[in-house]
Amino acid sequence: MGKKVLITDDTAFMRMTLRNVLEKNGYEVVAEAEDGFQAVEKYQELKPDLVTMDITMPNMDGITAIKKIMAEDPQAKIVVVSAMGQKALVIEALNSGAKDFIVKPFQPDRIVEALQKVGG
Amino acid sequence: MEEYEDLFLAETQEYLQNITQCLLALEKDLDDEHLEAMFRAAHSLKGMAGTMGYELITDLTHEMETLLDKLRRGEIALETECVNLFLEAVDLIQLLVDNLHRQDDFRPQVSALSKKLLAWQRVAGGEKTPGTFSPQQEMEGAEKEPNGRERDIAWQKMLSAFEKETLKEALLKGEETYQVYIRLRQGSLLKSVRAYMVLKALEKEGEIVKAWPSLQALEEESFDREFFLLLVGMPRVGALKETLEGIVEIEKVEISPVKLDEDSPASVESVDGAGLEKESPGTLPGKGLSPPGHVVEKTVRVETAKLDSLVNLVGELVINRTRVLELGKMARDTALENALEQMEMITTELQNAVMTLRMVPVRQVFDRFPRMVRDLSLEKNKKVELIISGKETELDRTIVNQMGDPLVHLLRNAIDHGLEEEEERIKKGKEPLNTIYLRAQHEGSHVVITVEDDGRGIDPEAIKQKALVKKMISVREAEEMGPAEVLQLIFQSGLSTSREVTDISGRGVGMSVVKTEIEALNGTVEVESRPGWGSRFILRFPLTLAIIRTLMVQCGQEVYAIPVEAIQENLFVEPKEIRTIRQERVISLREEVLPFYFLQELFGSGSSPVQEYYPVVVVRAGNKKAGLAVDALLGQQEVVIKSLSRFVNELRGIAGATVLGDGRVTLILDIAGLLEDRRLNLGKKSVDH
Repeated sequence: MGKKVLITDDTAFMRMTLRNVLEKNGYEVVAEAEDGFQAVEKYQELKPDLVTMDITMPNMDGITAIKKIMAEDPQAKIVVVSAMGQKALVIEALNSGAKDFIVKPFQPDRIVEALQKVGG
Repeated sequence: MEEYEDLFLAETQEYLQNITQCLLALEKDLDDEHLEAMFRAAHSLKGMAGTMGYELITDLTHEMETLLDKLRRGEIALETECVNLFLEAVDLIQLLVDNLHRQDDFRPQVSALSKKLLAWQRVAGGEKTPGTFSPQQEMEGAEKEPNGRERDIAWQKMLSAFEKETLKEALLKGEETYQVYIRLRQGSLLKSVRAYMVLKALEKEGEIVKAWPSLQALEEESFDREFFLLLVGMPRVGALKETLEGIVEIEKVEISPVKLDEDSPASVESVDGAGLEKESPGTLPGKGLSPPGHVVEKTVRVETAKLDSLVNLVGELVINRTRVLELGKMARDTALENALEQMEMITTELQNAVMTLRMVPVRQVFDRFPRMVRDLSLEKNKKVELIISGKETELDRTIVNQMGDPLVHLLRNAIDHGLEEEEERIKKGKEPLNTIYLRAQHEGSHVVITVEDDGRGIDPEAIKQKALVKKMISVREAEEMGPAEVLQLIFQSGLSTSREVTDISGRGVGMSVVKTEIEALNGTVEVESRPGWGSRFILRFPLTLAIIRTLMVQCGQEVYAIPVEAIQENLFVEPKEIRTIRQERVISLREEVLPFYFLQELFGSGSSPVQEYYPVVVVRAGNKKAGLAVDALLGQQEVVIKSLSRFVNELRGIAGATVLGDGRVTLILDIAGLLEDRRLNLGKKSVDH
């Protein structure tokens, strides 16, 4: 089985898109989180190799979630999947410990490339 | 991508609804939470549309988002005009979503609206916006691109005196100077953040003395996809290169040593100067994040077909349980009976739990109305406030999905016919503002929905005159009818009291359709009115459609189930009480004359044997009533409706079937259908007498 990935996005649509792309490329999507809370919870529970993280989400945004996950596990490999025009937030996410980012809408090979670059 | 389309459509609807709600709330009261929610919704929409490749939706939502961002940061104030613009955008997106495959038809509209949104964005600060969206704009300001191998920059000529000094000092310490060349992949987005990642990586290995294009240009994304940095320090070149190549969307990395001439006139006095350019993009303030503690339902999306199948299976289980219980009783085994009792309890709980899965809050429908009422009241130029309560009341999904149309009609009617002009109201001593109340509440096993307005009410005289003109009632009937009875006439087709037919309502078919639609959902509708003071429509719906309470009646060899909702009362009728008027059998019930039928005859299974008295079920649907004679009343039972095959469904008067505990199949009567049936000639409320 490939690397274990946790997908975080508040839209079911984006989660489905990501899941399909990743699974086609040999990743194992171990869970989907709809907000930061769930992401932190699922991360603790499942210890995935990689995490994709949306930024703007209800309840707990991606940046807070990144901080919490990084505090828990400084080795966590988190890739931000952000929408256009969120420059400052993406920078904050990177400063909080995210390894890299891609921008929605993305080409399927970009997210795969990002995950490969970050997590091998 | 097509496989995602359904999901995309469903979520888009939610977001559009969301935006509309927020807008209406904002129009009343500007608060950050709604702005934030709206921004998020627009933002999510953009992301989804972008991924699906719906370019026009993406463009439009992008402009909305940008404008919203400025609004939430307080750079512009939200004005009605702006709200209208957003609403217009919501409508256009809806249009685009409805015509996903013919988007191009709407290109001119989208571009016109985008321009308007853009114009509003520019209102902020009266400045040109840093439009980072179109690649063309990004090209502007980017300096000429170096070609091929001529990448070595004439750094020497670009350095300021201070920078030269810094370099010189570094070189004295034995540090070296490198040129780092970065090329991003074509079409990269958020390039400034890519550049930021590069700068961050470089800062770990040395000091960035100079950048081309400038650091400011990098931050503002006014570059194409290449940039150069001058690094001084003792970098581990290999490791640095690896790190940079490990960043997504970086296509090319070149690190080469640079030899700079050291003939610069060093001006020592500037050493205590302010320092290097401080444009590290990392110092940007974080934008407002979504406020924590925002309540969101924790839900799982399940296909409704799966849900229906689950409900159906539990229905089967319940039916079989009844059967097993009966068998258990026959076995007279205490242990078995105890076990069965336990099973009965659990299955009952299971049944209840599953039934709640079908329940959804009426909010789904109610939330559409504030927008509609707002638009209509603007159009009609009648000021109105819509007050909604009980949005969270839950009802069977099917009912909620289908009650929208009748409610729309009632609300439109209220606005069109009910509401008064301000002057008219003031003259009557009423509040100048019209009010429409839309309420939902539980009432036993029912949900009652009321649509009430405080407008001019319904004039029974006008209805009576109209009904007379249309020959719906006779003069004599008109004289005998009380006001409440007259009101019920509005549910008959062909009656419209509006003086003019508008595009909103008044085509004379409306109310009868409303009634039919409500009754198709096992619901009822009543009207009350106080002329001059308003009218009230009361809709009653059962909580669920899957299970209904029925009265079991024996009829020859057959057992039929009559929904309790449709039953007014039971009585016993002696043969001598049955009279014949115009070849129709009737019975008298207090003041009323009711058509009378033998149920057995209606279903063509021969005539009933003559008895001393007949058990009669008085059924009603709307304002039609009839007495149905049966052989015996067997008692009430809750039954799970199983729909018949499509072919059998054509049968008028049968709503479905159910399986009894003993395995027998029983037909459930559809009283409304039965009373509508022409064969029964029940069209008229009463016969002349």
